Amino acid sequence: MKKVFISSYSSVSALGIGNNESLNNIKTDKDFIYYPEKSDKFKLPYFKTEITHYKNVINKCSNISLKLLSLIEEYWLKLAPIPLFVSTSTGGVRETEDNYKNLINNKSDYPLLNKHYLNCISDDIKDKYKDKINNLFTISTACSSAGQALLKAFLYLKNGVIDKAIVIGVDSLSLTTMVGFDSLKLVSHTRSIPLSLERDGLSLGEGGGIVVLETEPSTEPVSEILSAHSTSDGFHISSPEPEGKQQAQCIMRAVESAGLGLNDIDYINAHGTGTLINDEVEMKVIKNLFPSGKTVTSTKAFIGHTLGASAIIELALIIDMLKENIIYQKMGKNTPMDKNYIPDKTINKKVKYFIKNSFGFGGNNVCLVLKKLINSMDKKSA
Amino acid sequence: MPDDRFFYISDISIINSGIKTQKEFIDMHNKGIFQNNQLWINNKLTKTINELGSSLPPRLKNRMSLLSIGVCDALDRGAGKDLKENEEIILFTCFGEIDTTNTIIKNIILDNYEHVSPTLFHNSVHHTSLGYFTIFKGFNNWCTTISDGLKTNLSFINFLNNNLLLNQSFAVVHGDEYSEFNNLDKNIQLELFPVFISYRVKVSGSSSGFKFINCFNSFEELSESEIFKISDNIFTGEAVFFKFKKSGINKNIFTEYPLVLDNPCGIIYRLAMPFYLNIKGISLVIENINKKYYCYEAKL
Repeated sequence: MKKVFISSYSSVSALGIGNNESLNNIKTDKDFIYYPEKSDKFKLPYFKTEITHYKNVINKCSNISLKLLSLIEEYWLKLAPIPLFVSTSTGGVRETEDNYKNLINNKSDYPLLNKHYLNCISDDIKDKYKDKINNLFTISTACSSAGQALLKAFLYLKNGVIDKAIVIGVDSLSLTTMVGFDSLKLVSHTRSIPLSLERDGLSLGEGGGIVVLETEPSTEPVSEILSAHSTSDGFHISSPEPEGKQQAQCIMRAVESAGLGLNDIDYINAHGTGTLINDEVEMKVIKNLFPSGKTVTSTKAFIGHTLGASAIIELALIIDMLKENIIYQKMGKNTPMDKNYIPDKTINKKVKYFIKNSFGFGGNNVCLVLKKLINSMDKKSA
Repeated sequence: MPDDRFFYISDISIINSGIKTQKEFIDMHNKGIFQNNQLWINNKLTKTINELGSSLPPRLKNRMSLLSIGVCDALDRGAGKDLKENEEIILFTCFGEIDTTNTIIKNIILDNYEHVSPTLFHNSVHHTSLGYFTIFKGFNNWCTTISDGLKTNLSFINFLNNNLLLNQSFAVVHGDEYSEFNNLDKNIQLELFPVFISYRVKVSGSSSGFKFINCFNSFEELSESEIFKISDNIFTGEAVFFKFKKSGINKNIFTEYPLVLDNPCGIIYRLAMPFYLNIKGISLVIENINKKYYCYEAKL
């Protein structure tokens, strides 16, 4: 079995473009949530990401992905041709909405089939990078999409099927997702404060994350993925099983596969959406598995719930935080669900082994166990 | 690329508006439908499938799309029957829950709804079908959904050729439903009807089964290859089917086209056909994408 390292990474979110801007904005404690104006169709606050469009590239997800690739191009181009895993839950829904009235009225020659479906992202990447990229496939398991893409890529690398890969998780906001989540009564009317007693829902976000995985990196890697595991709740399409049995199984199996004990884990980056039920079940699972306490936070406090992109964006952000031995927290004046687990403010903490949880509709659970390898910011951080 | 090991396809179930059972599939074969395009004119497919998902609990079925019902039914009749708890289930779907998504977009954009049906929304993600299957069966297996629109055929090949190297059995399911949404694109007109398949892929342990052979860069290169020369049967998509028919080669030529029509995922069905029909001898299973010919040998 091979070791699987993260050798380069970046993110695009409401916090900014790339690692340095994102981390600097986390440090400022400024709030990047957008409060809609009266003229906006969707009235509840969310985190939006501003990005310059590439010439002839229509889809926001594609533009975010191309930006991500460009941010770490200096590194990954040396590895080309390189396999690519894309993960998304929205694809071109946003752009379909923009063109829908004209399509229905027969007034549009918008290439719907090529721009709506999920391959729109890898097609645009392939158009720009041609033989530098080997597109494999697009994974779409709702909010756990990026977690599943990391799991699949990890297994292929660990078993020697491939020796390097780029994994991208990306999603853009659309009325479909915003109105849809609001219809499920899952969207906060103020702002999401995940893992707090006062939480009243999630705040949606958009963006993308990218990691380069390698079995034998030529440069010092930032993290090692030790294991990854997935289970299904088999319970409900949009609610977690209340006891979290399969979430617990997923975490336990992942930790076992990593060759670690539960006590070895220093930090858990929760899925932590900020909804009443998600955070309640996830914390119940964590408290049962780790009764003596662990440090748990949710990065969604800074960027919102970026849906299918969330696992990789959040992984990129926490890699940077952990390199500085700081776990940034955005709890405001709110109260953590359990102070033995969730810090009420930013803390200094040296972390060696950490967990990234990612859960999605359909009861789809993913848990990754990682080892932090370097401490200081370096040039691989774009 | 896969090594010399053979892999086996078992626990197959294929469903469209014309067939649900292996017997019906074999009847189609015996009538020559997969080999004779003159017979396709009588093989009409429809937008819905009667009596689909009859084993599903009504409380679930009432909430489910045709895609989800079809995926559950195909798994229930096929690869989901004796699934082991460590086997991954992978759903391939070109269009996902597109009819549900289309309704939501219409509600928001045309009808100006401020809210949509919560059930419709949570049913709109690509992974819905496998979510329902795990709920239906109480399964906790690792489930993944792969979707790449009209290019999901290449995604299947990329997945299969990599996943086989993990040396583990897994369950494949494909499903797509009919939706008026796909007719909104005036540039591409396709005949797309509901169609579903599931099967289990496992290491053969013998010299029979299937394996990936090569990707040939031209029809000529394929025609001159050793595997082509020794093959008794050819399984291919519609366009290459006609190309071979026209060439007058002395081999049995099959296509799954009358089953799936223009659905891009024909290769998922084609690869299972020699196993479902128990076609003896060496079969060459071909998928033509962008002038490249991806070839599998199926030996039974």
